[in-house]
Parts: sequence; C-alpha cells; structure tokens
Amino acid sequence: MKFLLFELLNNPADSIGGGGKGTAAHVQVGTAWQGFRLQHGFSDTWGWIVEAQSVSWERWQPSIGLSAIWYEGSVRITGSILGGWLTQSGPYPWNGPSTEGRIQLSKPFGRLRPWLLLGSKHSLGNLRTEIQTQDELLIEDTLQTEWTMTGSMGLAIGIHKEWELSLGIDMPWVNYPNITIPGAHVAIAYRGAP
Amino acid sequence: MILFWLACSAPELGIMYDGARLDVIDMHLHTGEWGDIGEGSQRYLTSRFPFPFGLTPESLVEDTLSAQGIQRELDKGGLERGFLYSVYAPRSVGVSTNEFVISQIEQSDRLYGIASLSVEEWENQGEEQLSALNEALQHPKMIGVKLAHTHQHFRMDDPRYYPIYELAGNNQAPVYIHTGPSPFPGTNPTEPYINPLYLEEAIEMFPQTQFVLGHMCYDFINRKSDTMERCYELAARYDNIWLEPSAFGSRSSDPEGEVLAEAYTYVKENNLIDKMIFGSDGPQSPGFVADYTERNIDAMSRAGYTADEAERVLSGTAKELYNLPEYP
Amino acid sequence: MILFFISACINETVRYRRVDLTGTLSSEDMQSPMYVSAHHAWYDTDLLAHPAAMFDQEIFNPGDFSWTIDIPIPETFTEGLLIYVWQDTDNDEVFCGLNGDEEYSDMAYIDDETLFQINVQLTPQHACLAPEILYANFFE
Repeated sequence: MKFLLFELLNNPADSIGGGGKGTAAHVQVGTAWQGFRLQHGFSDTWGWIVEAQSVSWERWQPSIGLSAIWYEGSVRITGSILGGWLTQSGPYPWNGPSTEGRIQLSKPFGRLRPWLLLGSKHSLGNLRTEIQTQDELLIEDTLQTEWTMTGSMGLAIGIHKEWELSLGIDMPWVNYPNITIPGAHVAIAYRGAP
Repeated sequence: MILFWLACSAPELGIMYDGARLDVIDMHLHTGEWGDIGEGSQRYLTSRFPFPFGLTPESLVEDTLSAQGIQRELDKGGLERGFLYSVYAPRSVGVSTNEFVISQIEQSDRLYGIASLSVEEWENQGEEQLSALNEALQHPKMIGVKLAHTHQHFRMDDPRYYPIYELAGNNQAPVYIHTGPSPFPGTNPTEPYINPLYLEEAIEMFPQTQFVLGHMCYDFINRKSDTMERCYELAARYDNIWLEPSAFGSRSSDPEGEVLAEAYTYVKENNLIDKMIFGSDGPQSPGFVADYTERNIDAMSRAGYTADEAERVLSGTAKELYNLPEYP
Repeated sequence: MILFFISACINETVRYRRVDLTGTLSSEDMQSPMYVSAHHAWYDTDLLAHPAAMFDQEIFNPGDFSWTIDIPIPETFTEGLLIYVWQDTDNDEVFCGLNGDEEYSDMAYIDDETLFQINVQLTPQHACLAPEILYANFFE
C-alpha cells in the first residue's frame, strides 16, 4: 500500500537525491556540516537550486544553480552546476566566488532510499599586499585557489506523506590536499507535489 | 550498571612489553591557552589541524591542553604520569606561565610541572626573572626547568644566562634544553641557539646541574638525524647529561619509524640506555601521546631492548632524576 | 561593478612600509662579509611583548651599502626599528661560532617611524653581542 505521496508521483521532486518536478527542500544539521537546499523542477528534466552550507558556523557557502536529470529508471542520476560565494573566518580567512559541479544518485526501495552525492568545488580569492612607499601606496593582489572534493552518502526514510528523514555521512576533502575529518548529519526533507 | 562501572572505573595504567607491565611517564607535555600563542604560531598550528578543527582552533586547543584533556591523553596510552611545561617564548610558540602550569598540576596527582622564565629584556629584568623562577621551583610539584634557546633567542654559550643553570642546580631541578632547529616560525635556527656543543662550558661549570637534551639534536627543518651525534657525544662524555627522544619519531617526521629505531639502537649499542628519558612533546592532537608511546615501544622492540631496559627509558630514570614518589 | 567585485574577493591584507636604508658598514677588515638584519624594536603586547624582533636580513660587503626593506605592519603593536650588523671574519657563517674568531657586532636604533629614507653608520665593535643583548643599549 502506497501511503507516501512521492511514491504515487511520477518523477517526484527530491532535494536530497536531486531532480524531479515540483518543489523539494531539506534542512540538515550535523557535525560539522549544516545547511539547507531548496529545489524546484520547472520541467521533467530541469530545475533550479538555492542552497547554503555552513561548517562550524565559521565557513559559509551560499549558492544557486541548475540541475538536470541524466537518467531516470530504477536509479535516478542527476547532475548540477552551482555558482556562489565562499566566506570563511578564523585564522585563514577566505572571501571569494565559488563554483561547484556534482552528481547525485538515489534508488528507492519502498520507504528506504539510499543516496550518494559526489562533487567538486572551486573557489577563488586574493591575498592583498599593500606597500606604503614615500610616494604612493602599492597594491598587489595574488590569486589564491581552493579545491574541495565533496562526497556524501546516506539513507532517506519516508516518514509521513510528503516528508523524509535522512541520515548521512559527509566525507569531503576540503582545500585538497589538507586532511578533513568526516562528519555526519541528519536532515528533514520535504518532497512536495508538482 | 556495567556500562556505568566501565565509564567511571580508573583506566588500567602501564603498557605491556615482552610479557611485563611497565610504568610510563611522559616527561614532556604542553599546556596553555590559545590567546597566549603568537599569531605566527597560531597560523602554523592551525595549518596542521585537519579540517574543520582549524576553523575553531581555540576550543580544540584549550580542551586538549587542559589538565583534564592531558589526563585523557595519558589514559588513552596507559601512561601513569606526565610533566607539564611552562614556556616563555613570545617570539614563537607563545607563553604558558609558571602560575598557569601550577594551576593545572594542582588538579591532578598524576601531573608535575616544569618551570621556566622569560629571558626577554634580560639585561634589565634578569634578576627579577631569576627570582620568579626560584619562587616557582619552591612549589613541591615544580620539579625542573625548561629552556628553549632557539625559541627564546638566547645563545647557549652566553655567560649572562649561566645563573639560570646555577639556580636550577641549587634547587635540584634538572634543566630541559630544546636542541636542534624547530619548524615553528619565529625561532632562531642558527648554531649557537640549537647546538648543545655551545652549552659545553656551562655543562662543565655546573656539574651539579642536570641537563636533559630534548629532541636529541634532531633537525626538524631538514628532517635529518646526523646532527644527533652532538647529543650522543655530550651524553657519553658528561655524567650530568640526559637524552629525551620527543617528537622526532612522530608519524609526520618519521613515517616508517626508522629514525626512532636507529636512535634506540645507537643508544643501546653505546651503553646510553640509562641516559634516556621518555617524552612525547604532546598532546599536539588527540591520540598523539598514546601513538607516540607506542612508536617508542616499537622502536625499542626493534632495537632489542629487554623489559628492564625499556622500563628504564619509560619511567625508571625519570623517577630517579626527578626524585618522584611511587604512584599509588 | 567589476572593481567592486574584485575588491570584495580579498581573503586578507598584509601591509608593509617600504624604507630605503643607506649608510656605511665600517671595519678595518674590508674583505669579510657583513650580516645585516632589520628588527622591530618592540613587537606585540602583554605576555607576548618582546624586543628586537627580526623581520629581514641580508649580506653586504664592508663600505657603503644600500638596502630597501619592507617593514611589516602587523595587526598587533610594533614600535621603532633596529638595524643590527655582525662581521663574519672567520667566514664560518656563524656569529662567534665554536672554535672560530671572536667576532664583533653593532646596532642602530631609529625611533622616527615617519621616515622613508634612513641613513645609518655601523661599526662592529661589540664582541659576540647578539641583538637580544645589544638592543638594551637603547632601552635602559
């Protein structure tokens, strides 16, 4: 018996696995990654995304982007590209534009739906050097780049009509090749009708 | 109920070596507060933390470096006791005052303190600093003196500072000397500040003062061990010289454990085992003290140490040199 | 708009003050190199306060010299400029090294932080005095 709305729908909206027609959203809390994602599929294939991610409340990355379903069968595979901004406080501050490309997979088994997200994030910033000479202020900007590989996986569990609970682990590699400690999160997701 | 007992019961101390349970004392541990670390070293430390710890280093560092945090680290490795170091190195790693160290060691019967002093403005404030050091050493659990010429920027052969060695000797407080160049920003890596051969005059002049050569002259900048011969030479020649193998055998400096094993082999082959006193230079990061202890035990095993010889290194010599009571 | 965008992408800013240093390094030994270093006279506050904080060094021949230095302007407190020199008469690259010559040093103190052109006269004459000792001549 089908009692979850998105199980009744063809091409249901999904912000965790990606893709789908209609509106979906989720909010996640965890250690050390928190965030939300709002997604709206405006056609069978295409949708837009608005999201923000935070790490320990010291590093913020708001983004907007486009997503598309690449394959829809027993498995759904979607791809997304996003652009945004990365700002980080602390001993190594950062402040610059960012882009991200990612692939998401999910496969439903009744109420349960394992999912996987793989991505690559890039950001630019400048180290500014100001030298006061007798005659002028010399300003030199040196470009700095940051590359983060993202990887998350988890299990979404249908809990009530349009709602899912998702448990996930986060295994990104922030500012490669620096070492990153894995994290874990719990998310509450809404999967609305078209 | 069983869970409660497991959580609250005292950890089993000691490590197993060749069928025997051995006491372990870590004679080189650091405590302190994030705000008293210099900006350059804050950035250096942060760069070594895995993400996301570097975003909020203050809370991590202060938790790890507290008396409770250090006891947790000792427990993980089964270590019995540890010595916490005062540091006065504003040019590099910052300051951890005698008063702060005393406040930490008074929280635990497993912790002892190693005092230090500021040598900044020595020409004008030397007498005052010596007096403060002497006062710190009157605390029953402040049992030694720590100096790091490369961090504190004073020459090992400058007689202006010899009263420090004299005062330490008068108080039966062994002097720990950082030897070899350090990777921290703000240190002075030139020879008179890192090479204990420059200390030889003081070693001879104050035979009642015991000198512990920390890091055994290892070159952390070039990751070379050939400079360690300087420390071996002094240890073989003088009764008041001791060796301490901290930090250079860590996973980052010595991934395969070869340098540490070679050092222990040399020490055994040259009859210097009684001169070795174990220290880690922790806590550095959670789990480091336990891991470093394990790496030293592996190195001693590879070098063919008996259980008695291993116990000399791990706690026996420290108990004698620092006149420690038996731990209950 | 583009300028605004670019100027917003600043992770951090480091600041310097560029000073042209000229002068004479005097010695009877006109062959042995002179090791010159530049120091903040005072750096940082409270427990971290310390004198003679070096930020740059260079090697010159004895005689007239010219050196452009960029003095760091950190967020924390700094004051004054010290120029220190020692002469490597035994060419071992170590000041008063083991088994080497007794070597000599000198220091100049510039407290005017508005200058961009500074002239110093240095004559190594203090036996084996490192900067952390010699600075005290200016701060009794």
